[in-house]
Amino acid sequence: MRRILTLLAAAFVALAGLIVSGPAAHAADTASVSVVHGIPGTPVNVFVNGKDTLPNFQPGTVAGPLQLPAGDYKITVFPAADTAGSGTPVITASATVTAGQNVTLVAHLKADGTPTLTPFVNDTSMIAAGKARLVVRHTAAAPAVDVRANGAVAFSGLTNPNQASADLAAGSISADVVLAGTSTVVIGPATVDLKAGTETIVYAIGSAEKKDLALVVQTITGMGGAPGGVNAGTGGFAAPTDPGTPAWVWALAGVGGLLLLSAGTAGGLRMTRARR
Amino acid sequence: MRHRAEKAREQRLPFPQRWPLLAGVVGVALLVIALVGWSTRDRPTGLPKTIAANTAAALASQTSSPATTPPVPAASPPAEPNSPPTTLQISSLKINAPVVSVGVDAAGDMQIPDDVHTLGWYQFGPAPGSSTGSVVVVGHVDSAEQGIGIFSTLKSITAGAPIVLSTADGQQRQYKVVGVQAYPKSAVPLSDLFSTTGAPRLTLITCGGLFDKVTHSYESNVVVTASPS
Repeated sequence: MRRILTLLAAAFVALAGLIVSGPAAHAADTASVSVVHGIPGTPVNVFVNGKDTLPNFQPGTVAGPLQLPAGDYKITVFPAADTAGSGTPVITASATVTAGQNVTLVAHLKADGTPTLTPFVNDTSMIAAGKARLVVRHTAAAPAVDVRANGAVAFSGLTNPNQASADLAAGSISADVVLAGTSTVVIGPATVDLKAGTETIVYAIGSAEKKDLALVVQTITGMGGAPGGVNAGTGGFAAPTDPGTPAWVWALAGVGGLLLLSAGTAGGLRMTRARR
Repeated sequence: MRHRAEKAREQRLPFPQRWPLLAGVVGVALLVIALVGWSTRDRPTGLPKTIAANTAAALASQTSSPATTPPVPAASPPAEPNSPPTTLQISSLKINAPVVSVGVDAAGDMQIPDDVHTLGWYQFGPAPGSSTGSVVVVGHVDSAEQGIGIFSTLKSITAGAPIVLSTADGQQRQYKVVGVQAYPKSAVPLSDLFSTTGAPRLTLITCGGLFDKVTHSYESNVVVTASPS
C-alpha cells in the first residue's frame, strides 16, 4: 500500500512538473531577433552560424523578426556576390541572445567609417494609452548629433553607437538630424508617423564624409496600454430608483406593533391589579 | 358606583391569563417578518442580465493565426483597414448614432464625446474590419447637463442582435452580439477590452448600475461584445 502511495505521489509530482514547465518554457527559450542593414551601397549575405540566413540583403532595410533559440551566434557578413561565403567577410561578429529578449542586430559603420555589427536590446515594455515610443540610434559614420522633433531638440549629443528614447503623444512628427549644438541639418526632415502602442526605431546610417546619410525605420507593435477607465455617465438618470418598502411590510409592522403595545398594556394592568 | 366598576373589572378577569404573553410573541414575530421583508425587498441593480460572462477574456486570448516564424526578409503584412467608423446602428434598440474618433483624456481615462447622442471610437485601437483585436466604441448612458444618453438602453441588448458600423471609406461592418456583462468599475478587464490582439471583435462600453451621488458616477461599466458576422 505504502509503495503504491509513493509511486502515485511521484507520478503526481512528475505530472505537476510537466504542466508547470510545459508550454511556458518553449516561448521563453527563444528571442526575437531583427537585422538592420545600415551600410549604404553594399548588398550582402548574412550567415548565421555558417548558414546563409539573409541572402542578398539590401542596404537600408530591416529583416525579421526571427525567433531564435537563446545562445551564442557567429555572424559573418559577405558581399552579395559571395553566395558561398568563402571570401573575406565584411563583418565578423558574435552575438549572445538571451531568452525572452527582443534584439536588433545592426550592420553599420563606426564613427571612423569601418563596418561593424552592434546588437541593441529593444525596450518592449508597455506604453501608456495614447502614447508612442520613439527610439533614435546613431549608427552612422558621423559626429555627435541632435535629433529634432517638429523643430525642437528632442535628443541632444547622440554619438555612434548610442541610442536615446522617449514615449511621446501618438501622431505625426517632422524629424531631422543636425550636427550637435548647431542647426546644420545632416538628415531630413522626414515625417515619422508615431502610432499609439508602437515603438518606432529610427536608425541614422551611412557616412557624413560620403554624403550618403539616411534613415532606416523599424517598428515594433502591440505594446499599447489600455485607458485607465471609461466614465460615461454623470446624471444618474439611468440608475434604478428604489421602489421603496412594500405595503405589506408596513402593514405587518403596524399590526405587530399594536399587538406588542396591547400586550404591554395588558401586562401592565395585570401588574397593577396584582399589586393591589 | 365604585362597587359596580370593580365588579365589571372582575368580570373581565377570566379572559385568558396568557393573553399579554401571546400578543407579545405574535407582535414580535410580525415585526421580525416585517424586518426580513424590508431587508430582502426587491432593489433593482440597474445591471444587465449577463450573457456569456467571460467573453472579453476568452476572445482576447484567442489567437487568430498560428504563431509562425515570419519569412525572411520580412514580408510586409497585409495592410489592415484604418478607416474610422462614422455611424453605428443597432436596429433592435433603435440606435443610429454618429461616431467620432476619441483617445484618452489628461487623466489617462478614455475620452467620451461631449454630446450624449454621439458615440466615440477609440482611435488608438484597431479599426473596424481589422483581422485582430477589439474595436472599442463608447457612449454616454447619461449626463447631468444633457440628460439621457445614446447608450442608456444598451444594457437590454440581447444575444445575436445585429450591429452595423459604417466607416469613412463607405464600408459596412456587420457584427452580432455574443456577450453582455457588467463589471464594478474597480474590476473592469480594461486590457482585454482594449486589446489589439485576439479574435476580431466589437466592444461597446457605457456606464450602469447604481449611481453614486457624491462622486457623480456610476458604480459599474456595461460591456457588450460582438463578433463579425
